[in-house]
Amino acid sequence: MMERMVERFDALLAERVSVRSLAVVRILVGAVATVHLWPLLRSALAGDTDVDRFRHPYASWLPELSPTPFTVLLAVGFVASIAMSVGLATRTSSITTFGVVAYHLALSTTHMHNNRAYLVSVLAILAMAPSGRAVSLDARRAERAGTPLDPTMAAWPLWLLRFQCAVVYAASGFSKLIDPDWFGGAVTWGRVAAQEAMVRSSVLPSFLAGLVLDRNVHTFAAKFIVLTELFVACGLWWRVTRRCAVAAAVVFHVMIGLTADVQVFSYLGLAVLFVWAPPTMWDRRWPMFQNRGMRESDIEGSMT
Amino acid sequence: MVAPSAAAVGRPRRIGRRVVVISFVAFQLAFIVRAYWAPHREFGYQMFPEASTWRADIVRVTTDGRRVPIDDDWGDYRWNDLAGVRGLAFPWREHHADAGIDNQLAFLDEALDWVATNTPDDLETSYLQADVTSSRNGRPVETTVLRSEPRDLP
Repeated sequence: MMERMVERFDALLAERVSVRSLAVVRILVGAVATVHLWPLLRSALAGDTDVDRFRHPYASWLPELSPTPFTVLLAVGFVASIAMSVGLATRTSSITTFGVVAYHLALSTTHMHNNRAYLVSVLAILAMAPSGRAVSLDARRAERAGTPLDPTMAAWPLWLLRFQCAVVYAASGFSKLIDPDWFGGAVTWGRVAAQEAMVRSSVLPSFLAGLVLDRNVHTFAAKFIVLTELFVACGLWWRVTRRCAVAAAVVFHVMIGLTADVQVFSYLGLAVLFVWAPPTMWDRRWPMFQNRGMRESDIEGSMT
Repeated sequence: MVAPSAAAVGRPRRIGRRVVVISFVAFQLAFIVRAYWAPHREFGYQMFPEASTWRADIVRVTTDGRRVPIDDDWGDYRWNDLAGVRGLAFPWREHHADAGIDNQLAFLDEALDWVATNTPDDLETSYLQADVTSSRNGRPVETTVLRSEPRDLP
C-alpha cells in the first residue's frame, strides 16, 4: 500500500510535461525581479545602502558587504534578472537572481515583506527548473545550431510552483477566517474609517463613498474577501473551477495593486497565475510560444 | 536531445526529487504555522492583518537620569535618519501598523537596540525608552514600555 503510494507520488513528480508554462512564468518573474531590484540598485548607486540605518540581521554569520561590493552584487542581480527573463544562460541567471534577491531579504528583518518572500520562493523553484528550454534565447540558439532543446521536463517544479501559488491565497484567507476582527469586518472598516476624509474627497460618487464608509457593509464585504481568497486557493486545483479562480485572482490583484502599496506583489501574483495554463493553451492561442518538435503526445494529462 | 523516460530515471534522482518537493512543502507549511506567533510573520502570507494604530514617545535616559525626547537631534544623530524604516519615522505621530501591532513593536524594540549600539559619539545616554500607546483594531488603547539594552559608556 505504502509502496504504491510512493510509486504514484514518484510518477506524478517525474511525469513529462511541457516546459512552456514555466517558461512564461520565468519571463514574467524575471521582469518582476528586475522591477524589484532596480530601486534598491538605484539607491545603492546614490550611496544609500542601509549601512548607517537600522537593520536586524536574521543570521549573525551572514556576511554584510560594505557599500561597494553590495552595490556590485545588486547590479549583478539586476543584470541576471534581465538575462533570466530573456532566457540567456537561463539556469545560471535564474540561480544568480534567486541568490541576490534571497541574500538581500536575509540581510535584515526590515527587508521582509510578503511580496519579497513570495518572490524568493518562486525564484527558488525557477532556479531548480529547466525553464530555459522554451521561449528563450538559449532555446533559439540551440535550435539554430541544429541541436534543439527538449521542450519537456519532469513535472515536479510545476507542482511546486502551483503549490506555492495556491498556498499564498490559502494562508492569507485562513488567517483572516480565524480572526474574528477580520471576518467580522472590523479590520477593513478600521482601515477605511481612518481615511474617511480621503474617501469622501475621492472620485467615488457620494452614494458609493457612503457605502464604503458604512460599517454594516464591511460585515459582509470582509466575509466576501476572505471567501474569495479561499475560493482562489482551492478553485485553482480543479479544472471545472480554475477559470473562475484565475479570474477572481486577477480581479483581486488588480484591486490590491490599485488601492494599496504592495511593491511587486500584484505583478508577481498575476505572473505566477500562468503556471495554471494548460500546456496546450500556448499552441492554440499563442503560436509564438510553440516549440518545434513538441507533440501533443509529449504532454500528459494530469497537469491540465 | 532526448529526455529520459520516467522509468529510466535513476533511484538517486527519484529520491532527490522527493526530498526537494517534500522539504519545500514542509518548510512552507511550517513557516505558515510559525507566523501565528512570530512577530515578523516571515513567509506566513498574512496580508493586511490588522487596522491597528500606534504612536511612541521615545526618550534617551541619560546617565544623570534626564529623559530627553528623541524628537530633538542629539549631536549628529537624528532618529529618522537612524531608524526611519518600516514605519518607524516620526514615531511621535500616530501611525497605522502595516503588518500588525506585534510586528511594529518588534521592529521598534529592535530599532531601540540598534540605535543604542550604533551611536558611539553619544556619551551621555544610558539607554533608550519608548512609551508606546497602541490600539488593536479600534479596541481601547494599550500602553507598552520598551527599553533598549543598556549602553556601554566609557
